[in-house]
Amino acid sequence: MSPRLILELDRHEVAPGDEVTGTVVVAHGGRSRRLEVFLLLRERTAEFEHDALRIGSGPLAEGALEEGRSHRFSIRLPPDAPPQVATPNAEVYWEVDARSDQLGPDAHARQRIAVS
Amino acid sequence: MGWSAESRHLPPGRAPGPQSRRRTRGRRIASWIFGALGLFFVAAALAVFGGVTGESAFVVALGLGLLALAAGARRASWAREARHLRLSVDPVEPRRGERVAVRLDVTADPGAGADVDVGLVCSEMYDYVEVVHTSSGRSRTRSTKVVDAHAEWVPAQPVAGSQQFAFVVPRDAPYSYEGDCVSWAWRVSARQRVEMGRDPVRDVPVWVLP
Repeated sequence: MSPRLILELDRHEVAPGDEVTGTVVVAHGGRSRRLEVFLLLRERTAEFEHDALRIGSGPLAEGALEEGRSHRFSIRLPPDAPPQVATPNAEVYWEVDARSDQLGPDAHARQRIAVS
Repeated sequence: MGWSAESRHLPPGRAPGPQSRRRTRGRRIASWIFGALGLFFVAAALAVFGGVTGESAFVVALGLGLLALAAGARRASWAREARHLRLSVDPVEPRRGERVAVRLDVTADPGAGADVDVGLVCSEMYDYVEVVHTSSGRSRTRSTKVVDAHAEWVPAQPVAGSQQFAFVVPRDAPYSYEGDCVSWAWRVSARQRVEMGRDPVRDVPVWVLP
């Protein structure tokens, strides 16, 4: 069985230069190469997506993930981080992505944050 | 959309992003292909028929048409430059919510009844999948659509001389951004509306900070 992750953020609204902190809870354990959290600046249109910026926390765990275990993380938002923008055709926004790198599709838990 | 040049939609010191570079590359490739075909047709017609004759005229005209397409593909748009309209903008890197002062200098009388406008415009460039139906089936290509995310125009006096304007960048409008599948580019623009043909325009790019 593939691991299942739950992402819990301490805050969903942050300012440029702030630390983005939270906890990744392993809801269902399993084989994994590495557990890491990424802060992403994402672009999206109806048919295309792109990660314009990607900042990693560094590995939080390596090897099999133990069910029920919690992993704290902290990633600094760049001081010049732009705020989110949305139009009817496209949007730019920030997202926190907890990812288990594993054989087959990776497991993810994602949440958006608002940058003021 | 009124852009007067390629990645000159950016003020000095601001580099084009992946989407802008991709669009410029596409135009260059199209220009080379049209240019090469055009030269081939003209050269072949002249070589075979020894000049512009009744038989070669069509081929020469086709070649010249392709060369014109090649020249047009090099330009970012089909906008004409308004040489008699000059713009000064301050600041050139405003923040959202900030006031932008614009001075328009009309160096030659546009003529009685002319319509001259000054505007603050944000162009949004976003990528989509274009489906093209051909005789051999359907092809899907990545294309970019350009629309106005914000456009505020005010009329100017159609007389020679200087005029002052002020715009406020909306707080909830997109900021300037050069991305991979979306970009937002701001400009202050002056245009003279003409009844038939393309409106001549003068653009000054600005970089709107968040």
